[in-house]
Amino acid sequence: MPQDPRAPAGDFWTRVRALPTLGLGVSTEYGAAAAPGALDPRALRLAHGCADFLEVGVELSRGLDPAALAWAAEGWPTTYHFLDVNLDDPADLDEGWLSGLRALTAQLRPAWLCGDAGLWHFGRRDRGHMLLLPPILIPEAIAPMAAGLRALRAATGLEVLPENPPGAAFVGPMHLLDFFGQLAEAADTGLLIDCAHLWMFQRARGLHPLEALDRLPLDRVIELHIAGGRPTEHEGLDLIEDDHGIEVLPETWQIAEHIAARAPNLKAVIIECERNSIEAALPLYAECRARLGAHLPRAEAP
Amino acid sequence: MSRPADQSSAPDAIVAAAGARVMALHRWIVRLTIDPALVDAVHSGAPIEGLQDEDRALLRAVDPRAWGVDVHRRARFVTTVLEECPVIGALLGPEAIDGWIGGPGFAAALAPGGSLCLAAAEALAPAAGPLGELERRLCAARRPAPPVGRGISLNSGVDAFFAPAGTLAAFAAARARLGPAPLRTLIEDGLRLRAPAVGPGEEALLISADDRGQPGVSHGSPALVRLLDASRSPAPRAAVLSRARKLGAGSGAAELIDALLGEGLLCAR
Repeated sequence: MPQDPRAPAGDFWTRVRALPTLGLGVSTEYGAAAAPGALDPRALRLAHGCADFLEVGVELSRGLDPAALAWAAEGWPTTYHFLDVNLDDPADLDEGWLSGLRALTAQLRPAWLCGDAGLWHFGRRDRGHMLLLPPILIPEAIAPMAAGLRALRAATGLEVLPENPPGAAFVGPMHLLDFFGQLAEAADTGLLIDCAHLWMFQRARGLHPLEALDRLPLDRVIELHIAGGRPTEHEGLDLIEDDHGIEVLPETWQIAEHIAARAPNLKAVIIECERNSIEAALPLYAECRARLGAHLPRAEAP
Repeated sequence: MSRPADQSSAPDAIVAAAGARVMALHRWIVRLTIDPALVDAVHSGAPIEGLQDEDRALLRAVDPRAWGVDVHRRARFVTTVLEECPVIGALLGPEAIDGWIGGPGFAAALAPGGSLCLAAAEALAPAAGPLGELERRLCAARRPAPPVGRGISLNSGVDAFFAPAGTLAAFAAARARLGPAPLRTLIEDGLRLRAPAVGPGEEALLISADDRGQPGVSHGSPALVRLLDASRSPAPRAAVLSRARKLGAGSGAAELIDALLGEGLLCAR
């Protein structure tokens, strides 16, 4: 696999100093801004000062939508959230996918890459194959995923932050945070912690919202995701639906506040509310600022 | 905090073996999310071919209700196949596709490089007769494998074969019955087709990209289809010319091969 000559040099503790502080941002997925009543990230930034950066989540086969292109054209900060790569499968980092990624990042110029470290698809990338399952929580699963993270970082010249995925069925005895902590160290990388996803895991295992956070290397946490969720059930099994609505569960806030206060390298926080109106989303931004206070990263001046 | 072993320096073979185990477990997990019978088997202790005891213990530790949370996943798989293989769906019924997805054959779709639609078409085409076989070949042509080896060979996304006489017309008629929204015709209108009578005799068919880059099927000359069918493996130009002459191209063999290369039916590497 060709290596990008701009691949960041040095260990994580050296590289992290070169990463920009992006502040409080908003996420988007392909076509989200065009949905009826959905927020326009550009308007959220210009009219309300609520989007320091945009996290763009698209499958490479779809490319950037008009909202993402308009944002990129302004030269405003972005991150790119992949939706279609199984990091623990070397065959998934094929040259076709990588060349598509390079073309997209040339347009978007993201500060880093990030995305759920789980199973995004089975078989080849093909119609109907997309899903998202959490990683197998066994020590043996760490090395293959770490190898994929290192390979992707070398191939793109960008930091790659693995994110804890959502799920209902978590296989393996490890705690999710032990898995991701060890993954970050094995790949010598930073982390994106999705607070809503983490609460899904804790609740599924019957654990306290903050369980095992004392074992996570919090100095590797670069980015947080905060999103609304909805308690639900399936055949009597209590679950949380990761609906990206405007009702953020108290435990999600509790996790976000706990990490933000203890993560010295936190550089970005995303409110995932892409399919809600600006009016509905604005209180979330206000609450986030109030809850995280001085621990909320402040965007660097352009 | 406990520190992990330095896994970045784990030998490649160990990492590869670990990755293979993880991917195999993921394949079991995907099946569990759509197959309640497999969930029951895993939790009941019944023998399951290919599932190691250690991995089974990991799967059994999960609340069995958690596997079925996405209650629409299996239906989405069925509709994905129906969208691409509506003729097979009309001939066998959506329930045949659903049954295949719930059976052991579905593992072929989950294998590395596997394709849901192609694996379904390969499994179900024999029961759907010549029309199913034509739809399977179209499905395969949409997923061209990069050619391997050096020489001249059939281009990726091209296919040439013989089918019972009348197959293409019957296929076109079936597609016309399915209309512009085949999925709705199959699901909401419940269209089912009987296998048409085709043959006796055979017709030469050619699959190649149409103006939109999508595989289309048309009649070809028997000599051309024989030549293309015989060119699946790369061969030196001299061998291809010799083959063309034997199949009747005579002194025009070189021009014919150049024309086929120019049209993209053959490729040279």
